[in-house]
Amino acid sequence: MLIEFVSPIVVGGLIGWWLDEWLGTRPWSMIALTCLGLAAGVLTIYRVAALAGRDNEKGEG
Amino acid sequence: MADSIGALHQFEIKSLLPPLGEAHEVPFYAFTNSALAMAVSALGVYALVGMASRNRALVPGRWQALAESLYEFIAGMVRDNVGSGGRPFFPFIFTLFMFIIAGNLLGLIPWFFTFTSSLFVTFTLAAVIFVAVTTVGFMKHGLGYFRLLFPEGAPIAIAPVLVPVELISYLARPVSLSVRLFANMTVGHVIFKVLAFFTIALTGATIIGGIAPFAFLVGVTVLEIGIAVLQAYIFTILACIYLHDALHMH
Repeated sequence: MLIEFVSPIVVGGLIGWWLDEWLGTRPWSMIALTCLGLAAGVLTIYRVAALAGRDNEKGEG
Repeated sequence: MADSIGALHQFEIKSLLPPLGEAHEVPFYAFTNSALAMAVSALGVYALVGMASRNRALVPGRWQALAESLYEFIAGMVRDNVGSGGRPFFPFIFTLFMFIIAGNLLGLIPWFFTFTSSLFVTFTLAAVIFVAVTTVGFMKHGLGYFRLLFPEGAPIAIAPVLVPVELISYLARPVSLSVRLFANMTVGHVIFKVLAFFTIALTGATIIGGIAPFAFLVGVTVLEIGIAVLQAYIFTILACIYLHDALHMH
């Protein structure tokens, strides 16, 4: 569960770092993309939870 | 602390054939202990399936029954999770599952290198899945596969935020897939070494003192067999779910 939340943040941060190196805009795109990564992490957790809930309902019903 | 016990030596990759040396000293094509473990696992799976299908009988023998139940298990997984159009991918999913479960289980044998505890190996597996799934998605839907980044029914005004979020979430899949397997296998093997160290050290102090860590070690070994199977299952079922997303787009 935790790794699914953390990895989008890390990936967002790394893409931001790379964009900053490329465009010379340090640190703005890294900050922005880390925040978007946080949103992506929440979204992923939501999807995992929704999938687990669907499977539970299927099991009970 | 773990390193003074020597718990991390088991993850060292070294070359077995000339040019000899540690992982960072030898060229990329060197035959390492990790490569040997992968070769043994792959050949082991090949031998198991080959042996099972040699004397095919209507009433299956022991090996044939094992291979048939594994086949049915993976076939059911592909049917339930990939859905329609999943049949062509069955050989890939079956190979993936057998390779990982063989590596996880053989890795529990002392002195056998656990290649799934190497992030390079798990990330390569995850990257292959990522590239394959993305290719399948573009082959099936063409440029329409980009719609995966924008869920249907969302207001167009939030697209500038939603598309990067979905893209990051998509790109993070191979990272979480590989780190999950790598972390689970690494942690299990470190715990083995630490508990074994406690057993030896406390037995040296008082004979009775070693009993508690040894009992714990036995319990953890049983747990690790379960984790070895479970992590292979999770890795494979997530590959199936990603394939489902690529074929049916949610």
